[in-house]
Amino acid sequence: MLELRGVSRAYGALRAVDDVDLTVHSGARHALIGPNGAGKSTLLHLAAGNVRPTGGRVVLSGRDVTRSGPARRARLGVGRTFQTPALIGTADCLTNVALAAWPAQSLRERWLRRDPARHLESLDALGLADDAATPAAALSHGRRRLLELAVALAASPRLLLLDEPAAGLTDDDVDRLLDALGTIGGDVAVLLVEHHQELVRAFADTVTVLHQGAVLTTGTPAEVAADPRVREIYQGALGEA
Amino acid sequence: MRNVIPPRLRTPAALGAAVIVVAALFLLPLVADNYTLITVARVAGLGLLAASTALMTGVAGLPTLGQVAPYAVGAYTAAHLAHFELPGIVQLLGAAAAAAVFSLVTGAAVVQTRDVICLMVTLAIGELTAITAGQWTSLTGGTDGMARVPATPVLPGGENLIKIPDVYTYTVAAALVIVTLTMLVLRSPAGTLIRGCRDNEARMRASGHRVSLTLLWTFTGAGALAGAGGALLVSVQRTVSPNNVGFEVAALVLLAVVIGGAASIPGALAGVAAVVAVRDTVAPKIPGEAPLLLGVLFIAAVYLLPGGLSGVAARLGLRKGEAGA
Repeated sequence: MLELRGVSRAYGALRAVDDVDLTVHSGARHALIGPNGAGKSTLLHLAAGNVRPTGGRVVLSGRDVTRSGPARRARLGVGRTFQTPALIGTADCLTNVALAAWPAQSLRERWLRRDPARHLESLDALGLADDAATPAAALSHGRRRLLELAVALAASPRLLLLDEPAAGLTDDDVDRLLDALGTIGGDVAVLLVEHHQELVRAFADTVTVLHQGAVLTTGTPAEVAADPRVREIYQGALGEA
Repeated sequence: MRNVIPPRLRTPAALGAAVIVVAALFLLPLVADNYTLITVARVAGLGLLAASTALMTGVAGLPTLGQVAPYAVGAYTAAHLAHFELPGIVQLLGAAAAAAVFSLVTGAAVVQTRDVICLMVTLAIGELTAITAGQWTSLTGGTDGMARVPATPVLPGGENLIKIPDVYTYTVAAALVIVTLTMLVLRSPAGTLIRGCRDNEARMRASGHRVSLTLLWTFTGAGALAGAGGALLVSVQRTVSPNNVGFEVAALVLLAVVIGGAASIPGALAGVAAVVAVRDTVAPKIPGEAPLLLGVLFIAAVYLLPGGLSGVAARLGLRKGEAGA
């Protein structure tokens, strides 16, 4: 589904992402972990097209999209959330979801709003049905995160990139998030950056550990947890902090 | 399924206020003298320019000082079409079309910029257009402008627009129709799309929307709106010169838009009316101090009316929310 081939991104002398090879298969539940500053968010930006690589190629379903911007990639089936939820603040939740579904819809569906029921269902799946008419800017931080996930899902993506979806959520909301993630179709690839250990363990089938911009290891959650190098960098990160 | 309230529902009070204003405008010729009528008719043209500026600045989020450029293109186009003895409706549509093409071309650069850079680029476009209008004598009549634009009928075969109440009725009716159309577009999904680009570009792009393309179409539409305003200006004063399309007009209109509440088209119209009223009634009593007076008005508006006139209307229950339309 998504292949990063030798992808690098340098900011001056700083190599935020350094020669990373990463393959996310169709239907994968792939988590990206690593200490702060490991380059996880930059890697997600590179995959979504928000940041152009300084080296290497990004391939989506066999198509080279290295030079394509985020809108083009979204139309090719990439959905994403941001570390700080990106929403249309003055529009209500229903409109946020409807706008996200728009590019995948026919002209007729867009202009006549024939199907608000479908959008309401996607809000309901994340417990947001009561807020359908609430402007996104008026929501609490946690609910904004859930709304952004509903927005990302509304476009029926084939690859979903999630940047710390559980950050700032209450335990109830994390459960709701897990439920919602569980309903994602088996053919959709999910790549998520996450610090929430339980969420990673409950959701991911593959874990890639990034350290200082490079891939340290990739494996099942159990393999990665048992890897002494992983323990070392996390302890190192804790020691520095 | 619960009934979901559509966003920015127009309240009965707002609709009532609109009906009263429109009725008052059409009854004005029965009571007012010609000077008042011609002043209000002038405001109609400026009002479309202000609506165009509010559309770009408040709704699309691209602050602009340059909508006088398509306004100028529209005004000169209308003047030339009048010389060919084409009726007012053709002048209006021709001016809007020429201004739209002009905006489509210049917009390619404008929609790549944001914030202060956008303000500077649009200022440059506006200034260059005004200078061009002053120098290209064969096309524009130079700094003297095009005097003596012939009077024409509104529709083919109609009576020439000479009597001031007729001129007034035509310009006010045309402006109201155009403003209504604009507000309908902004209430449609197209308006939602434009406001989405203003609120969060990253989200719009991540959802597959082509933000720059949307802004380019918006800029083109706003250009057509300003161009129609230029045509109405020519219909009222039957002359056009670079003075009508210079920086002073751009600044005046941006002031009116800020007073009106940036994202509100009716607010922009009310703002223009307020600014012109102050300029034409109070300012002549203190000669030479008109810019100072407008400056004081501007500062007072920013401090006393956060959200502008439309913000006041919202507090009075005439408008819902501040998403703007």
